[in-house]
Amino acid sequence: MKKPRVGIFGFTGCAGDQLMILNLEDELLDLVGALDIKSFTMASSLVEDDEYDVAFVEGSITTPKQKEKLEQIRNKSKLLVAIGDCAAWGGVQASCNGIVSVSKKMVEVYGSRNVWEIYESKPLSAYVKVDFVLPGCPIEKEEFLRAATSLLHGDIPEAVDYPVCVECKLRENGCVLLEGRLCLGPITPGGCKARCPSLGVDCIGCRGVIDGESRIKSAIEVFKEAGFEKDYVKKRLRMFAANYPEILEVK
Amino acid sequence: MAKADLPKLFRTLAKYGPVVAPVRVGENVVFREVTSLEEVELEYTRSLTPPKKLFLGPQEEILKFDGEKYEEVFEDGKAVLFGVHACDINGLLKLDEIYLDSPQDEYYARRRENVMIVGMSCVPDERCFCTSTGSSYAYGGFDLFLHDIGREYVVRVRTERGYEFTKDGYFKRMEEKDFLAFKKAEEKKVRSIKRKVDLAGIGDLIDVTPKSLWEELTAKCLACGSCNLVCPTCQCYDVLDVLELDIRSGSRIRRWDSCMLKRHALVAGGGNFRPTVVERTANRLSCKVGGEIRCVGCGRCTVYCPAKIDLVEMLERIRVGA
Repeated sequence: MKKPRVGIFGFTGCAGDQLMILNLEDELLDLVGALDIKSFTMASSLVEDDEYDVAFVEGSITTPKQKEKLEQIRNKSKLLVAIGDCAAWGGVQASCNGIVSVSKKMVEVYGSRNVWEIYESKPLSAYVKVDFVLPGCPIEKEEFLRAATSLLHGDIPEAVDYPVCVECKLRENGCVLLEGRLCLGPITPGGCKARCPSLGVDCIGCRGVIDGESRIKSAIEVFKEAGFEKDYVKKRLRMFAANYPEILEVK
Repeated sequence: MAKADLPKLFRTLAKYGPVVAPVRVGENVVFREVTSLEEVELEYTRSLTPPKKLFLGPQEEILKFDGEKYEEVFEDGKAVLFGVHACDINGLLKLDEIYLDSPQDEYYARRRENVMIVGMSCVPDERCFCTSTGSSYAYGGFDLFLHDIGREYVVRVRTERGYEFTKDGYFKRMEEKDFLAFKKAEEKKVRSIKRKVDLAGIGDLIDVTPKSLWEELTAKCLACGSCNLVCPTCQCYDVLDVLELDIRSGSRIRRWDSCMLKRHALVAGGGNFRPTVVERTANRLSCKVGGEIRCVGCGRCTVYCPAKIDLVEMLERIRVGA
């Protein structure tokens, strides 16, 4: 069998998701043995411009140049996988979308709105077709490995479409929300094995939301009844998933 | 037997196998392996997840494969499940109806055979309603059952396996006064379960409940699946194969599933015959109390619902129709 040609790319983000791939220390040799990695700038300066069977793309799109590069990658790739919250939802840098305009941000940071052209931070799916999403800030390295394995086998990986609560219950954690903290677990996809609630910390929603499934309006109602301020709830919801339409429209 | 002799019984039971018992962890009680009686929470209301986890694991490997052959993985070890309440024992009996029915589930059946069950009387709270579901008392489904009657335990023996553990000298034969004390303790327990729900004919009413009422009842539902995952009678599981990088070897996993989640009714092609919490809740309630009563009144789904949705209140509103 010919090894699948893989490209790993990054746009606006911290490169943490690419780092998580490199953090697969025990499996890395098997992984590079199984895949024909043509481009992974974070790991090697040797870049072969090629067609890809799979492109893994990190980061959100914030400039016209990035948009162009992303379109090129898309055109050269059979499958495109968004990795990490920035690529999946636009990242933390999208948290003020719809509230603070891009030109205002430019003036604030650079003193002028005309330094260069930038876009409001958007996920990859705003510009190109995304075949699969590996969410998280950062991604779970085991989830990446499983996804790579599925793709090698010719399957679309299993998407996590259930909330963090499921993994909390499987781990027999008490409910952080019922204990009085604003936990985004009920609307956030699992896959992290409920890492934060297992340590008694509320889920901050770093894996975004479950598209078409998360009950945002119900969650807002539940948080309100639990006594949390409207503005605080809005900020918490926006942190990692501001571009999700139901969250974007929260007043 | 005298309560003071419980450590002796515990030590004898431990010879049968590892003891799994209720343990307090923070605000919750969970079933864990213990090595001494001191670790055990003898007086508790309900554990977070039900003891069914010993027979049907939250997530377990059921077979391994290497591309040529496969091998089933059985957990055959003996164990003692200690301190189980009547509601949970009744929950296991309901699971038996499904898992031990032909063709029986080998994984479940073997563990059911190997795990000895020691029941224990409970400390009900205002959210227990087991007298309405006929599960406040265990007629069977255990080896031994310890009823707290004050300074002593009345020990009911249900199996020969259990009987073997009652041959030591500290077990006394019951006298009439013990029967009376037992009766009194049971009456007190039944009286203390104040919450009632009328389930007569509720199946029809669930079936004819209009969508508008379902929408109201589920408005706060987060579709998080917690109600299913803490339920002692939820029997659904999901099976998935996890491959190794060689894409030949791997293992087959089964894990608890939840009918409140998207994928439970998702079919090939992306169709979903229970797309929203409305259909999912109607299905869940039908499954629990619609036909046979499969709810044991433990109150877990209400206690651990992050949205504080109350099952009994829902059923009451379905009865009233508004």
